[in-house]
Amino acid sequence: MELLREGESLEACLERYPEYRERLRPLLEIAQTLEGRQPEVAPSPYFLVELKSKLTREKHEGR
Amino acid sequence: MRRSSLQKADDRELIAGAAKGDREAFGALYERYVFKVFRHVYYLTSNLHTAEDLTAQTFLKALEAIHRYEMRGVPFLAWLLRIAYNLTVNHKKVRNNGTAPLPEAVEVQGILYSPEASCEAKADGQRVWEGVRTLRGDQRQVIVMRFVDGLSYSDIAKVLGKSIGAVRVIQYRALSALRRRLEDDLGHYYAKSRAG
Repeated sequence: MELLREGESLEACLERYPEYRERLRPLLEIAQTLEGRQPEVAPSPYFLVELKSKLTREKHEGR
Repeated sequence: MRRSSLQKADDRELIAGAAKGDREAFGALYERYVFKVFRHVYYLTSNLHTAEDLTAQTFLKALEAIHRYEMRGVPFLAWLLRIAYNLTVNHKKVRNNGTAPLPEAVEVQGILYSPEASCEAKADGQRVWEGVRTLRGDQRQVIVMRFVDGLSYSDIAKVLGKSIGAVRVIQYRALSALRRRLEDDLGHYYAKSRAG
């Protein structure tokens, strides 16, 4: 999995572990898809500005 | 510190400043990590507004506790995610809903794909990520930390309070479960990809 993350191809990874090839392939295919294609999300700009303002203005009330 | 110097400062400097009450330093840390914390919480809660609320709570708690953060412990992001994780767990307990799904679909307000992603890649990624939302809690947590947050096994282990070996086992089971479910649902798709 680390090799995939470092940019090595799926086939190159499998060639390193031929004895586990058939077991590894389906898992690495899933990992490869998860690694590169996660949908991105973002908070609203209003939220970002409001929270930044709150964090940098409020007096810290120690508990 | 001026804004430009804050942006260039490393985490260690900013954390030290924030621990001494420098709110601008904490603000710089916030800008550096808010998107990552938000993404993490969103993938666990499936709801944009809940994710915003828990992200805000995470940073407010971090502000209160930053003087207790230890530089030699977990990286700052992992520390933030541990706070976020605890808040998310508590939120789910309150809602009595420990199985909140991941996003139903990726095409909702606020969600964007990277420009270079092809239409086909979008469809493949969407199928797999829809499968992730069916995973049980700890498996989904590890997948999100590994593939959304990009954390190392060591840092995931620290966030979850588990051994590295345990994290690897959870990930293995998660990927296996995900593969089985996708093969059941999308057998033709993976049969085609294998043939190709």
